[in-house]
Amino acid sequence: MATKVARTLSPHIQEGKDGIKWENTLGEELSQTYIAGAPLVRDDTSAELEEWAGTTAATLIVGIAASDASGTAGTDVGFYEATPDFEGEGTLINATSAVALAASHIGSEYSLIKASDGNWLIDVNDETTKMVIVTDAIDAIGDYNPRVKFRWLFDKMANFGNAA
Amino acid sequence: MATKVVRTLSPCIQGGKNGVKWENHIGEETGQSYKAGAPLVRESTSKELLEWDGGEDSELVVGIAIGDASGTAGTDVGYYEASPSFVGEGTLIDDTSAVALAAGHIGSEYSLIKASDGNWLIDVNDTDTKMVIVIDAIDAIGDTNPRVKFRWLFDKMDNFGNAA
Repeated sequence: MATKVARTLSPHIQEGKDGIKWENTLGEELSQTYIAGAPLVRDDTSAELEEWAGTTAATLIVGIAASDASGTAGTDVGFYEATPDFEGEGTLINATSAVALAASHIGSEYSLIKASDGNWLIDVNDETTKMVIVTDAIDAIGDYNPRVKFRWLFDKMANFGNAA
Repeated sequence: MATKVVRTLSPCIQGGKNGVKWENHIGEETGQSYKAGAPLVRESTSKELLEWDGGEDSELVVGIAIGDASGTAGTDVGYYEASPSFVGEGTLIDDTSAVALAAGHIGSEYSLIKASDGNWLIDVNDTDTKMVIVIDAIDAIGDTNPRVKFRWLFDKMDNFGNAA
């Protein structure tokens, strides 16, 4: 058992050229300060990409940022798209407290939370605004700040949907 | 801002060998005259592939044709399968009128419509029989006859489903 470094979200498996998709028509929403790994959504009005607001925000996820925001509106944005094929890596947290990996975390659905350093983590304390399902462990059971594999929940992906 | 040439549906990203899947057992339905890019469905009795009826037709889509119909029943049919990993390109239309791309089109779900020349377009005037979700712009906001990226809605893909 070990205490791991809490790191932000990143892709684990992703198709495509380097796994990155580019928003190079509409680009980045103004005043963005997110760092790589941030979950991105489309702004309601401009449809440009911006950081997900977190907590109970109902906006669907386009993907996670491949790099930090430029801070300039309209800049091209590279991201790992939220798709059924995407498998991500994330660090578990219990609100703001470190948590040890338990077997019961595997297969559970949680929300995401932005830490004070700008990293986005999987919050085992929030099962209300479910965003992801933990699909597998990367670190050992009992490790603190454990890295796990996750997938986006079907109904949280912005680029997919149902007619009914 | 520009006025673009109206073009039919085509794949933007597609996995597999050349992205093409073949219906080479049952083949093409009798009396077909569709063009490349046409959405294809299975005939309810013969299971051969034919052009989607459009309008309010509830048949699920197998994919889009890679070539024009042969007009001969049983001919092999190549198509780009409607799958979660498929990303297509399409031109927006407002029923039969040209439309300029707006940010509000991104993330919206629409039907498809067959133009008089046989091309299939994404109809922003029809949000009743939703078939696709527009996921990204290819042309600029304000362009007329804009090209966009789309995905099939989960519950409109014939080769996928739910138990309940």
